[in-house]
Amino acid sequence: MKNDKRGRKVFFTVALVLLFAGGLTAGYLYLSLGTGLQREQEKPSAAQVAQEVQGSSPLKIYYPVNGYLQMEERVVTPMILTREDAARATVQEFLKGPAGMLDPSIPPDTRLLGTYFGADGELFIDLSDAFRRNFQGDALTEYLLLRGLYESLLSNVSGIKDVRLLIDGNEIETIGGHMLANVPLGRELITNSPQSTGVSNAANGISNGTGPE
Amino acid sequence: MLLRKILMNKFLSAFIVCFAFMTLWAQASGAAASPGNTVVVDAGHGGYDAGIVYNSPDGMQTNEKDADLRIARAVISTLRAAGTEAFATRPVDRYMDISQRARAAQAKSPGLFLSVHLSSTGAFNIYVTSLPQDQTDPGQFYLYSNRQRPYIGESRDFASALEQSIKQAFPNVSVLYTEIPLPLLDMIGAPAVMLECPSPAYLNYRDPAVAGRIAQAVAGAVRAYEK
Ligand SMILES: [Zn+2]
Repeated sequence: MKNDKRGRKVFFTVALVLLFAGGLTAGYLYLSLGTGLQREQEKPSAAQVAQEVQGSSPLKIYYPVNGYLQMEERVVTPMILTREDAARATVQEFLKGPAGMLDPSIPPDTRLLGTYFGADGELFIDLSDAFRRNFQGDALTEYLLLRGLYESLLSNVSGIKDVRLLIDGNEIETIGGHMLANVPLGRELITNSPQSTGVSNAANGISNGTGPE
Repeated sequence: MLLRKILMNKFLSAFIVCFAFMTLWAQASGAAASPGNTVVVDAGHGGYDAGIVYNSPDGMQTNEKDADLRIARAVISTLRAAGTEAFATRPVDRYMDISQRARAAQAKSPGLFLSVHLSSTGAFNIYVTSLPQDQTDPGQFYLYSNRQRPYIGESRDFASALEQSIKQAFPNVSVLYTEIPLPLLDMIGAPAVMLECPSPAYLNYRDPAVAGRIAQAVAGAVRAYEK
């Protein structure tokens, strides 16, 4: 009888301890997950960050990634005040390559040598020879490299009609042997083909694995 | 009576001579006027432009320009063996710019044009050009960009035949079809396709049998297209 009473006491004590521990764990999990979700929902865009952080500007950069163009928002400091600043910052961010990529198709060690605005709305981008020398890739890689640079500049620099490329101050015929580099990029790269007119969908791998029929 | 017989014989002889001459002439001019028989094969890169450079784990280096040339030569000899006229834009290891390649191809009045390159991936890529926008623009920047326009449908047909033929020859390898603007193809006044063969990481181009297999697939596609 006495043993029975003692056993029940132990049982209730253990049950109380377990209930308390369970409550603590559930509370912890609720708080940590809840705030995590909240944090995710409240994650501001690059543009919002740029507005809040005084002296910085958001840029849209189009990178060639696995046969497609992928847009990334980048925030740069100091604040972009002129078109020259915008052109320079855009190219510099483009040359850094996409975030977290080990093997980007952007030719490594390329330096921006200068940016010039032509009288007819053409923007000249002068890059070091590494852009040509270190390019490794096929026709689609070269197309996306040039298209990504072109789309990035058109998105961030106001009032330009087209983009022209210089290597060490000179026009050269080609970067990788498949595309022309001595013509306005927009007129070469933008075509009537429904498969290659947009950006997200075109520069867009365009490969569908099926024939033209 | 005798006179009539002699005259008849003369007429007959003249007719036979004329007939034989006309037949030979028609045959000869027919061959020359039928560029459908001529295939121009362009090996990509060359000279100081090595194209894709691949260093294999055994320490060997494969340059795209050499693999392109090996494949192009194999395609040309396979086509010639089958009785098709075939020429190279770049028969040796030397640099040619894009316009020079187009001029070399156009000089042969090709019935088909194939540019051979390597892909960055393990797939075969088949490209047809996507024509540039402003065809009426007086400041047109490609000297020859209108040349491909009338042939774009036939280029797609040849691409389709090539895709089928390669899929049969390499059943375990992906074959991707892509349309992007490609200036060399724009400059060609004939059905024109670019073929990129898998990266040297996936096919050993030091083995001549590999180029031979690709050449057989291309020759099969040319036959199927011409049918
Ligand atoms: Zn190539």
